[in-house]
Amino acid sequence: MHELSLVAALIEQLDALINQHGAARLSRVRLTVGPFSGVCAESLQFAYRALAADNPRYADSCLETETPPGRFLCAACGHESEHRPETCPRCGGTIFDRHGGRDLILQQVELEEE
Amino acid sequence: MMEDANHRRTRKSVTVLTVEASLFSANDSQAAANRARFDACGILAINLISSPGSGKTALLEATIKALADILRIGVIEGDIETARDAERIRAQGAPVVQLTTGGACHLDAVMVARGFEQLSAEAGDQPLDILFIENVGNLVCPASFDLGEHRRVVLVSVPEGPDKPAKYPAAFVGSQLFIISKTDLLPYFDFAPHEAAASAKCHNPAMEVFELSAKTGDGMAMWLTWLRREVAARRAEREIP
Repeated sequence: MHELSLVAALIEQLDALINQHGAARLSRVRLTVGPFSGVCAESLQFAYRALAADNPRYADSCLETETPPGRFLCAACGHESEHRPETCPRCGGTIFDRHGGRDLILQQVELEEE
Repeated sequence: MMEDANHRRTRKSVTVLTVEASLFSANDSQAAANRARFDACGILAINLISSPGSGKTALLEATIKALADILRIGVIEGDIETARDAERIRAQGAPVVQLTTGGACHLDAVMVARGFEQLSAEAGDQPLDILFIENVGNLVCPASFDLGEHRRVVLVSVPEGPDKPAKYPAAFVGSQLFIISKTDLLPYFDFAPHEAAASAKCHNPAMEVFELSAKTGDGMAMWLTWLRREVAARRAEREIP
């Protein structure tokens, strides 16, 4: 459940943005969840609802997450697979490089004024 | 559109901001500060990651005992509750700080910065050669947080089974050394060390793998040599301007 501490950090960042822009509330927040970030989008949603629930500035707000697909490139022949195969279907290699991002990025927020 | 107090429909003013900031950035910048601090003190920092009960503390006890005359070791212990691990380390005569996370499943760079302040006070004037950060027992969450360490070491004990690298790849992708611990139990478990090693190397070809038993001392020499080599490499790096 490290998603809970990540969402706590997110809310801090969002609070700062709300204050900075003199907004009344936040209506939408969009995150990109790297496929190798070790973060579960569903747990992020759960933590967001838990932490935003009793905060009027986040009432009725929604968290949108987007996870771009991860790719596995065979280290020997460069063949690309969407899921990590046991062995490379082209050359039989067993070592794969992971591509697609480890980061968790706050992309966009939508703020509302009265 | 929304309704005001008199049920009139009013248009809200909406601002869309593009932020594009990493949620790991606060942790990562503190981790970089920690690393700079360790470098300035000439300390090799090692983050130990494993499931609960893989033998992290037993390995540290044996390591402190073996290197007591050569290297000064300090330990930051991370646990959800209790100071039991810190007491075991203190019994070996090493400075130690217990961080209890109160439920958090991992250590982060801010906790480690705080722990290092306390540890520095406890260690006094004698400089440390190695700082071990024993992470919360968990093979999943700690993998996502840089603590400012120079080396990350992942442990799997024989009773856990050889499929851990395949099931929990992130901990292996981010580590430089994989220790198969409790090898004194190999006769009683269906665990082929070469299979576990091969599985880990699929995810991280550069990874080194050691097999050892902190209890019997088998295989400890490789690990102790690795540590001394890493300390020497850090010192050499420091002397090059």
